[in-house]
Amino acid sequence: MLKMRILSSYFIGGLAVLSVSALLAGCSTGTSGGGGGVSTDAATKTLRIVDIAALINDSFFITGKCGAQAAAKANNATLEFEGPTGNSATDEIKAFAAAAATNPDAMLLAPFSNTGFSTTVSSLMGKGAPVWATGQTLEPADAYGTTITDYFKAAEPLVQIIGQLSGGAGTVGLIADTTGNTTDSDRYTQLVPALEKAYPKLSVLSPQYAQNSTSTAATIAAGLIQAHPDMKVVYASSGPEAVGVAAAIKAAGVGSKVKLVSFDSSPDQITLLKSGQLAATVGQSPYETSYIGTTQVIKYLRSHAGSTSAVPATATVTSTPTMLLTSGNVNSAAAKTYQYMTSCS
Amino acid sequence: MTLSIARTGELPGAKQRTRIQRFVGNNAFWLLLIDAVLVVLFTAVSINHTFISPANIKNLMLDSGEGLLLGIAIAFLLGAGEFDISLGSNLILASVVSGMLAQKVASAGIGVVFAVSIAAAIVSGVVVGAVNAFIVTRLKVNSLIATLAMLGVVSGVAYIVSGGTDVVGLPATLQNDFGVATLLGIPAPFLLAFLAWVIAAIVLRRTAFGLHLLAMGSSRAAAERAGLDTRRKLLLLFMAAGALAGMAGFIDITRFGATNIAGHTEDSLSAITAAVIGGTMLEGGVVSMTGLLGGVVLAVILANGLVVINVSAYYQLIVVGVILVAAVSLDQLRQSGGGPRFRAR
Repeated sequence: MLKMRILSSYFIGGLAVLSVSALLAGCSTGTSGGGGGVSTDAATKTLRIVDIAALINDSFFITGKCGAQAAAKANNATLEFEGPTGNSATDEIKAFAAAAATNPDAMLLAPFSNTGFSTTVSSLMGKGAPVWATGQTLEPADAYGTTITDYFKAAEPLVQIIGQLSGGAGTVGLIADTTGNTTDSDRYTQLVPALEKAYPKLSVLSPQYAQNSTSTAATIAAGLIQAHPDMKVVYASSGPEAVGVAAAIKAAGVGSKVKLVSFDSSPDQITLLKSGQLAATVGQSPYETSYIGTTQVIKYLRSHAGSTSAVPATATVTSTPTMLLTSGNVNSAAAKTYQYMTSCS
Repeated sequence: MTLSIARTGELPGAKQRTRIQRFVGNNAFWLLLIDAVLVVLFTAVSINHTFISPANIKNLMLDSGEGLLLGIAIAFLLGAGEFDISLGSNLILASVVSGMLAQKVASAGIGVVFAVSIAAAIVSGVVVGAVNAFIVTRLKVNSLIATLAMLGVVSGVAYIVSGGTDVVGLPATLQNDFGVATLLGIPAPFLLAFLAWVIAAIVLRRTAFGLHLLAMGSSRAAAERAGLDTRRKLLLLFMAAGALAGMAGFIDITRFGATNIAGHTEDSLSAITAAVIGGTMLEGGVVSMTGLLGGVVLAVILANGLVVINVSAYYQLIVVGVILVAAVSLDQLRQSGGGPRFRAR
């Protein structure tokens, strides 16, 4: 009797598992936009594109999403936006792989780290689903294309403004986000040698990492200000770091002596810029970056309707512009296009 | 000030130790000694002894505020044999709710802005604490798992409420009149946290609630057999922990003038580390408020001091790890009889 009960419970359990699996499979087929990448009616059908961002609650990536959404809407495609909510390259790799498993027609990827995505990217490209990298190149260069800020060009006005603010001498502190985050390190790896070359009397400190935390950035900045009485400029590589440094400078009461310069133009940074706590910041074009990427993958799919052959990987990089925002130009029409959004409406 | 319920081996008739012997035998003493040694070391090594300058002491106090509040919360919970991993996300939600409401009443005057902002932060924290207590006491889920789950839930709610981005444009009075304000040279946020620490120490030492929470941590079954309403006390405890997280959220927005929704999820682990290093036992029944202060100060001294003496970011990780291991192993050696010969026994 007991044996029968056990057997029947196993049977019911097995049936339940099968039913749930079938239901999930059905759901996943239903949302995959046909599944299997390119179909014969790809020239006209609504394409499904998934955009994976490094940090979905960051205004830079939200602005990118808005650009991708606009391009998708203009080209009869839908866009899904996914990614981690914390600083984790591993979580982003997992999110990318999970989204790839739903068989989207194409994917956009704004990677934290430029390694670790290769297997999934190759698999998607092999099935005919183009992958476009935004904001960072991939290693190996196995994406269909890349749109990225021209960091070399972005460094030029930064060198100039840091030189002006420091008088070409003294110490410059550098507060970055995380190690192993190439999107972040690109913001100073070309800047530092350019600064040292242009201003030999300027001492640029090695980077300190604040892990996207305003309080860690404030702690570090406060320490740097104490350690270097000749500190003239602190350079923060992104928004939360800039907010933390601004708070430290304000708390120390050294705003007239130590200037803050940063990268990115989040709403926080624009507020600081307008209040005079931030001397200058580099605004990127995440909207344009993702708009171009989305348009390109859709163009590829439309022109290869019915094809099941692999998408060719290219090392082609399309550069997008930047602008140095200051309190003097922040309200101009040109500067507005470089300020990040918190929503697409 | 280490408080515990008598455990096995501490019989009433045991040989009485003097106050000094008890203090020297307490690991809070050793932790404070390590803090003092680090202060001397960093002062000696820093250029012009800037580590001990009034400006840097202010930095240290500013950096301690939030950690101390979360540390009190976790020490009390650990004392009662419970965990709360969701304190960091609770802080984030409280800062978001508080910041958004502060924006709404920005024009109503400084008093209203402060009252609404701090009340909103505390209420938000208390609500999350109550939900934690419900899951632990009514659904009988282990607090480690319950609050780990709530870490995600509360973070998600914070992202939804904030629209997934930081709340900016907060009334400047929050930062100017509290976040960076000082009273007799002491930062206001630290004063608030220190006041909470004093009250917590009194509650733990002088009230029945303090005794009861240690009894619950020492033996929940015995506490219940003795007639304690442990469910109600746990509700109060989790709500109090939530209120402290809410206060930390309030301090966060006043210090930075913005929220930092991606930056606090690991704060609970830092608070647990500070409490445990200070002598609060993970197994429950023992809380050291002096040790907690020493643990929080240790973390702050290391974070600030290593920057002040120009240690590179990568070496900082190694130094912090080594000192944490040293701090804990010193106590373990002392407890196992291998410690300094002059220990009190």
